[in-house]
Amino acid sequence: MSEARGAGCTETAERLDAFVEGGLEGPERERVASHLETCADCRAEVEGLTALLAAASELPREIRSPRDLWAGIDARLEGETVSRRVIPALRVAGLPRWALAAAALALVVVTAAVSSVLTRRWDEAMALKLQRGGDAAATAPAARPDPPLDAEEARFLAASRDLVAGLERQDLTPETMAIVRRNLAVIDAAIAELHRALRKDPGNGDLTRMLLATYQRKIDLLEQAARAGEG
Amino acid sequence: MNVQTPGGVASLASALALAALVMGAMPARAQQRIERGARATADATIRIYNLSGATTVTGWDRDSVALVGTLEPGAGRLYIGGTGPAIKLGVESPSGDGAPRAARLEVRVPRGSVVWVKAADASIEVDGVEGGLDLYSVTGAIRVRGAPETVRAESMEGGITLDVRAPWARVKTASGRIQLAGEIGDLAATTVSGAIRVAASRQARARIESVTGPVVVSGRPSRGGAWEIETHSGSVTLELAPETDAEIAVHTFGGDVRADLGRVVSRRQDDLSGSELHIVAGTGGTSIAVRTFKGAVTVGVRS
Repeated sequence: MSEARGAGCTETAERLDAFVEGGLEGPERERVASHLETCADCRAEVEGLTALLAAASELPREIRSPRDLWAGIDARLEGETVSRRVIPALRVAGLPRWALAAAALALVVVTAAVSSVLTRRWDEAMALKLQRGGDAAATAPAARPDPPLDAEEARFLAASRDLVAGLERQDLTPETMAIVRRNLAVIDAAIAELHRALRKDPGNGDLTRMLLATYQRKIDLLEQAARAGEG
Repeated sequence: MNVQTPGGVASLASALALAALVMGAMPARAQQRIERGARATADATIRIYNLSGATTVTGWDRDSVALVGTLEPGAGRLYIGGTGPAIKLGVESPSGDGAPRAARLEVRVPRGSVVWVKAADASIEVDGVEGGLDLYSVTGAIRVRGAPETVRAESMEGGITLDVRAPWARVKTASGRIQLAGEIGDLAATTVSGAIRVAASRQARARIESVTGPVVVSGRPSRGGAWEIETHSGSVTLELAPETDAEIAVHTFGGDVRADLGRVVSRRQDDLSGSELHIVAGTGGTSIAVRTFKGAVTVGVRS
């Protein structure tokens, strides 16, 4: 995106993620849509993001978390005569468990892949810094290339979209939903700040890694909320 | 009371009816205390549901589970099922949209049990269990003491406090405060907006993450440990013991950095990459990496 773009572009760019994810409503959505009609750059950005989201939706969804204590407990309890009734206050309504599970599994795929990238980069960068001691050059970028931001980001967006859709169909209490919304707003504000910083310095691998780590926290929060809603 | 007159008979009838009503109503209003038990293996898997009130789980040296439940009227039905290797217990809330009523569960389990507890606003307290722990709440506080094999504790808004000796722990909140002490071999603590405070001792590997919540690490990290602390805008404060041996790498894009411990071996700052600081305290040996986007970083000696 060009630095020379106008204030309308800057304002819109901060909302494009939410626009593509379907998270904007009413006048806010209309403002972005209206801007897109007149701005080819922003339209191109939306098209690119939409295409990435579509590609990300093809991710495999059949990996289980390596440590799922509940699965073990459930198996051991299978056949017991204990009531399996779901507690009403937190029951899952209108959403098949397989759908939640599918979203969670997609999440595990994304989480595992990106965590691996982030952890590796963090470890390498810190190892280099600590090994090289006082050498200012020790802060040079890690040996491996930066992860492709757009693709990684698109995967996170797809996973968070699935989880948000799942949460909307769960019968979470208003108090729980308020906690989720409050903290999502905190994370989204951080993501917007990191986007702005990356626009100033697009090649900064540390910022890229921080952005992806912040997306990871968003996914973690949504996943945690989904677990809170399970009976 | 005169029972010879029609009016007197009526009065007596009214009094009896009232007494019957009062007596009938009393048990419904009073708390209900229930005691149950079940045989269990020494490493039984135990699943506990109690949404509102409090759940206390204590490990003991018997191959059985003992449950004492105190239920408010309308709290629902206490149940316990299973035997031997797998036991499930808790409070089944009545159907309806009303808020769940409080129940207080005191559960004794074999010390080596694997315990899973689910709560909403109920607090969860676990002491003396040496198997794995999986603990989940929405707003209820979680507190763990003892030497569990693993701990996974999550709360959206409740505070989580661990004072444990455990090889592995994962702690997560949205906005709940996290307070950790003891010896945790492999620790990960994550929050969005809650505060995290860790008393460092023998953590071999610790990863602390927050978005806006402040992080405080105090004490003397053991030699050979590796700490990674990352926040977006949350401040990071290291209050380390004067005798700490550590290599500390700080990187912040926009936060202030202040270091009063050890010697600075390199420092770099520019508008785009922010500030980087490399400090060695004592003879090094423990790696502490701190990274923030704009959170302030303070490295100091614990007073």
